[in-house]
Amino acid sequence: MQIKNGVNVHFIQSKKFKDVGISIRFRCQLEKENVASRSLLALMLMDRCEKYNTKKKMSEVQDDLYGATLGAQTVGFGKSHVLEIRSKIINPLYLARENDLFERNIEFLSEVIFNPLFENKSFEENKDILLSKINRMDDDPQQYIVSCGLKEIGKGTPLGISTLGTYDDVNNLVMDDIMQEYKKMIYENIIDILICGDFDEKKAVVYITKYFPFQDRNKKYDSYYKVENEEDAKTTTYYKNISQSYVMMTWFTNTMISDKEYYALRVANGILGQYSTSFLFQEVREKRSLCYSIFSNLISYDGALGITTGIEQNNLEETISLIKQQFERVCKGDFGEELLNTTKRLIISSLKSSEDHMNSLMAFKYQNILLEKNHKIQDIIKCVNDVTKVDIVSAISKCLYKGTVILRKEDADEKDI
Amino acid sequence: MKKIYNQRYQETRYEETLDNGLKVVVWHKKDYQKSLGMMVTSLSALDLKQQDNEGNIHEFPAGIAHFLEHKMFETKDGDAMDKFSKIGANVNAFTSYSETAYYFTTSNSICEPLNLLLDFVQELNIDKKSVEKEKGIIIQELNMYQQMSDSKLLMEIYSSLYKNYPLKYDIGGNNESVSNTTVEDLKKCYQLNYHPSRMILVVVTGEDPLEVINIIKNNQANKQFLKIDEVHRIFDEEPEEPARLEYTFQMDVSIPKVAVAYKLDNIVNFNERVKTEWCLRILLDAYFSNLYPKFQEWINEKIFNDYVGCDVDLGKEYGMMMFYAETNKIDDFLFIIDETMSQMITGNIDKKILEQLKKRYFGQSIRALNSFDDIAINTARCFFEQCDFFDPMEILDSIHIDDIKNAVEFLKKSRKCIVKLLPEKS
Repeated sequence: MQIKNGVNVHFIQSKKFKDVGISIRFRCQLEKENVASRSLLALMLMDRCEKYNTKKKMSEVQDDLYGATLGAQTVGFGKSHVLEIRSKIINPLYLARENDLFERNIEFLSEVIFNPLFENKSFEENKDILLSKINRMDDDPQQYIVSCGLKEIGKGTPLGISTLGTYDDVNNLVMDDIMQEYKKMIYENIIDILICGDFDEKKAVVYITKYFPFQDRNKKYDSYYKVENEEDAKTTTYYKNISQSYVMMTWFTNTMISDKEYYALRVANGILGQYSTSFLFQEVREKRSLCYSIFSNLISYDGALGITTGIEQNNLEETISLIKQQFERVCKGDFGEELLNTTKRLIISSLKSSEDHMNSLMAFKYQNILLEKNHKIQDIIKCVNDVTKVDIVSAISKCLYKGTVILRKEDADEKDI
Repeated sequence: MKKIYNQRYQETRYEETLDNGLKVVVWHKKDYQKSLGMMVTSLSALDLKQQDNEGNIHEFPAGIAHFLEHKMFETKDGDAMDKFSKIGANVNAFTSYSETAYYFTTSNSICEPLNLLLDFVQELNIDKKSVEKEKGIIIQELNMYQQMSDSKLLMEIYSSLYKNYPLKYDIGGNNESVSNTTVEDLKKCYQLNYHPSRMILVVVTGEDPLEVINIIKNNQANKQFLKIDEVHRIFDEEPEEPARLEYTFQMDVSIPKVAVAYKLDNIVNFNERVKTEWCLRILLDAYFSNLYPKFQEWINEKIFNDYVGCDVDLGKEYGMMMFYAETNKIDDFLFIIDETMSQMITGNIDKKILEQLKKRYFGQSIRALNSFDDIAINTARCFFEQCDFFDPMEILDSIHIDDIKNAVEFLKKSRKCIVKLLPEKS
């Protein structure tokens, strides 16, 4: 339901949850120039606001709402960047007396969104926090390998931009950047408000209109796309003092999430490396004990596929060539009816269970919004079911190998050079 | 089959103990597509020495419970994971310091995966070759955790606190203990700890509970189990003092991390233990979180950033409380922790804060009932503790300011150790 131009409210009714969730998503174009300021903005909004100008006051109002949660995060959806503010309260039915919990929570969110506190102290504090977060991600080899991998292959495309911002970009921010970004967020971003749980829709509309005085806006931002660039496939090595080595191999899929072929690609990815029945798990872990975990993942809104694992350094070459072989097997259709059906069943089971999680329901709704579709989970299940072996071979064969990134310990003799 | 309905939380479950001793709990979640089945034994990473009623002592290498967890998936006609996958179900398992659990989730029919779960957990099928092969995979897994600074820090805290108590070992053991594990060790450990009378099966599902319990009964009716000797865990006496007062290690991280841990006495009685843990948790939230006015000052002084926290864990056999942070000002952090402890030990707490925290915890406990995993694992833990699922919340309700005063007496006997993780010098 549209409340203003570019501001929409979406209701997801369900009686099975113990809580009522609300997610407010501000969307704009993903650009190298705005990710850092938006990440910092998200942290500052969540930290305190004008009315509740200390962390203590923020906690007090949340506790008074029976431990209402408040979170803000930034996520990339292909060419789009989303700043999400999310809150959950318990279903007011669990309280014997009070019944304005829902309204009070929206009122609280209104303070957070419309009356932020842009003070230097909070700016500096949250900047430090964001910088530490970025450092910590780089400290964790499993996260670091993925960010290196995407940076390498995504050069010149949205895929290569970290949605959190880089250390230097964050370090160079000044307060004015945040305030400018905040203005854009309130006046220009496309806004979707999702509410999920057991609640009165009429009242929800009343509260949203009352507490969220957004204005009309006339912007349009793309999200999903097909990533491409001129970079040649290559192998890049990064060094870190760790005993295990990590590998990420990447492909451009040349299939968009909106394409019919996307479902075939999803099944192909399942056969390749999503499950314990997948080629990667079977060949690399089970048959050769080379690793503990290995996965292939689709980066659906950009049209990319990445495979990651952690192994012993002296098994690097063997593992990389094994991974390539498994990819080739899917391209050649070297899989039986049984594996195909198993993979479909696993995908369908997880699709069905997404109706049992509030966050998945919201994610599914938001995907419909971005794709401008009105799919039901059942429709997606049918698409997965209809995928044939020919479809899979065709979808995976369109993938273009874009390179390998290795993270490992520097050899003693290399260090001396 | 006994039906138990909780009015306050609006939750329904059914309980029965089968003839062979297996405890079954079916938690009914109306309208849900998904089902979860979890089979749990109290065999944990702490069970390295067990004694039976005749006084015989069985010793196992560190990480045995975790090793066994890996090997259970091998069945005489193939890999259990594959079997679950083929019917559109996911299966997994974990080993902790309090249990070993095997669980599946599915949004399809529950009958087949439930039978599969019972069948693969109730039969061990290993030989020397397959045990040897598994060692490589487990060692890769242990290495993976060793690389992660957070889990490494936690392991070092445990090693600093305990000299003998098996918490000093990683859940999976170490390269040496894994390499030394034999087929005989695994078989013995399985036989003693996987008997139906030592296990609980929890099913959380939208399906008809009566049908679910019938599936389980039919499965069990076809199986014979040998009578076993009851065993219980024993361990060497643990000194009161921490094993290492201060320990420093290095990793490739950008900012140092530091932890201050306090060794506490164990509390055997469940009610007393849960009550004390709640009281300490309330004090931690009152004196070491946003609710404490100085907390913001400490952030402003850059004594820590958002990577800061504290925890308290009281077990039947052990007790600990810890503070940790990422910080470039280690000495300042150590100083404020001493200050925090002195504040906590006064036991002073504002009545308003106590009521506020009770509201917060109530909300959290309601929301936790969305999680099938939380329900299943807590049901199992309560079963092994012989208490009701909602007992801890009832105990929280009853907490009064005086209880907190009493709990700090327990804190006064605490003994401190420090663990530092420093960036490598390059």
